[in-house]
Order: sequence, then structure tokens, then C-alpha cells
Amino acid sequence: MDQELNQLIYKAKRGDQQASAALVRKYQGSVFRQAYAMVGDRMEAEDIAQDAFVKAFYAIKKLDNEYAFTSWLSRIVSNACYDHLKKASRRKNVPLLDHERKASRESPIERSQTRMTIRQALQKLSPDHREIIILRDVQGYTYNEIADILNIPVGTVKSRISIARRTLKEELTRGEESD
Amino acid sequence: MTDHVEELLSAYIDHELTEEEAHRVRDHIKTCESCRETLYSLQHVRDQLHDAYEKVEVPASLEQAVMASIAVLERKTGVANGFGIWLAGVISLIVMGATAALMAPILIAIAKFLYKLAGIGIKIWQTVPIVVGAIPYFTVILYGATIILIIVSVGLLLRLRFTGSYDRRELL
Repeated sequence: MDQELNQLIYKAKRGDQQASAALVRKYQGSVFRQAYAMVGDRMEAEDIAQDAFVKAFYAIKKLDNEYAFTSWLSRIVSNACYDHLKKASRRKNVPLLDHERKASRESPIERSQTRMTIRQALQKLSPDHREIIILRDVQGYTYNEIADILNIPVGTVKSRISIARRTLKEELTRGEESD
Repeated sequence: MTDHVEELLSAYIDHELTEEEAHRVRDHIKTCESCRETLYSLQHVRDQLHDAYEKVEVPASLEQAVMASIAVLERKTGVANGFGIWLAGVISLIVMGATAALMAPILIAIAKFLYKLAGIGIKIWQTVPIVVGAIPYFTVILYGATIILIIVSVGLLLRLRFTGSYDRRELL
């Protein structure tokens, strides 16, 4: 972690609004990406990202180690996604995988057939498998970092990632066959 | 080929295997077409997933929305803190008042006791001259006792001085 980032976190912990804004600018891409990959809807992902940042800055004084900020923030986003999915599953009338609705909220650049397919396949994974493959392939964390974020053994990380990838591969193959 | 390494392939493409395991995978895929194809397809899945989210556009309003939410939260917290201080003050006053009300009979009893004690003291003080006046030759006895006391004191002082000189000599 560079000194400038460490300084920003230090200032944000002391209530510096400018430092907090700078951290939002720096991490909004990563936070939004994680949430969007997890729930598959831009507006919902924006709500989750906003909620996660607010929770993070509310709790930042409790963060003991500035160097752990990135993984700490990912953990908050992960929990916010789970909260959102729980609420969504309670609203049984609203289907979670409404691809048409999601497609209409995507930008024209993102609306390519291949990307839609992998995104659709991702949404078919269980939340646990989706979360772990996002942390690995979208966010680029190592297995040890993921184990730390999710508070699970590295062996579990390894097996979940393996299952998630194989399931994704099967879903994509199925999609190609049905085309 | 029976000793397939499918369960290791995912960790292999992530470079998360031990050197021994990675060596086993490398050796195996040289000769096993099935595992080699699985490896390529897993790599493809990984790359596709990464590419699909790498350039996702972040909503332009996100930063502003986050900062606005934080500001609202801080205002609420500030108001809550101010109200908390005010509430604590009111509660303290109520507790103090209630304590005083409960303690009032005890405090009054203590005050009454102290007042009576003071009255007794004053009466004793007023009685002393009467008692002294009733003793015959009191003034003569008092003067005599004072003179004896002075003589004894002077004698003791002289003795003390002499003893001190003796001690100093001994030390030398």
C-alpha cells in the first residue's frame, strides 16, 4: 500500500470528508463491480455500493490496520450483497434473474452477447460460489486473501472456486448447445 | 490414463498449487487430452468473467450519493449526541432532586441532633465560671500551680541542655 493511500485512510478515520471522498473515488469501481457481479442489476448494485461505503465510513474508526482496508471493504460489500439477496429472496414475487430487466439497465457498450452469457451463467451459481469466483476472477484476490475476507479455510476457498468454475463452464456449454 | 487431475486444474490456473502438485498437473496434461481441454476451458471461463466486469461503467452519481449519505448520517449522529448530552443533564437533575427528597428526613434529623449538641456545649461553657467561682482560694491555687509549672519547666530545659552537651562530647 502506498503512503498516500495510507494517509487518506488515516485522515478518513479522523473524520476528514475530503479524504473520505478521495477513497470513494479510488474504490468506487471495485466496490460497484463486486456488487454488480453479485446481484446482476446496475441500480441494485449502486444501492449496495452506496450502503457499503456508508457502513465502511461509519465503522472506519474501528479499523485497526490501515493496510487491511481493501480486503476489509470487500468484506463489507460482500455482507451488503448477502443482506440484499436475503431481502430479495423474502420478496418471492420478484424474480431474482430477470435478464430482460437487467439487460435494459446495461449500457450499450456492455450489451454484447458473450458478456451477457457469462453474466447470466454467473447468476445461476449459488451465492457462495458466485461470491468466491467474483473475489477471485473479478477482484483478483489470492486464495489466502479470500480466506481472510470470508473467514473460511484456504482449502474451502480452493474447492469452492473449482466447483464455481466447473459450474460456469457447464452453464456456458449448455447455453451454446441451446443456441 | 486413470489418474486425472481435474480437481487441481482450477487452482493450477490461479498459481495456487504447491510446486509438487503443479509438477504433477504439468506432467499429466502433456499426455491427457481430456484434462488439457478442461484446463483450456477453465482458463477461458476465467478470462471471460474477468473481461465481462473489467470495464463496467460506474454510475456517475455514486460518489456524490455516498458523500450525501455520509453527511446525513453525521448530522443525525451529531443531533443524537446533542440530544444525549441534554438528556443526561435532565436525568442527572432528576436523580439529584429525588435523592435529596428521599434523604430529607435523615438530613433534618442530623441537623436537629447537631443543634442539640451545640446547645449542650454552650450550657457547659456557661457553667464553667460558676463552678470555678464556687471553689475557695481558686485564684491563689491557680497562681501557685502556674509558678510551680514554670519552675519545673525551666529545670527540665536546663537538664536537657546539659545532657545534649555531654552527648556531643562523647561523639567527638
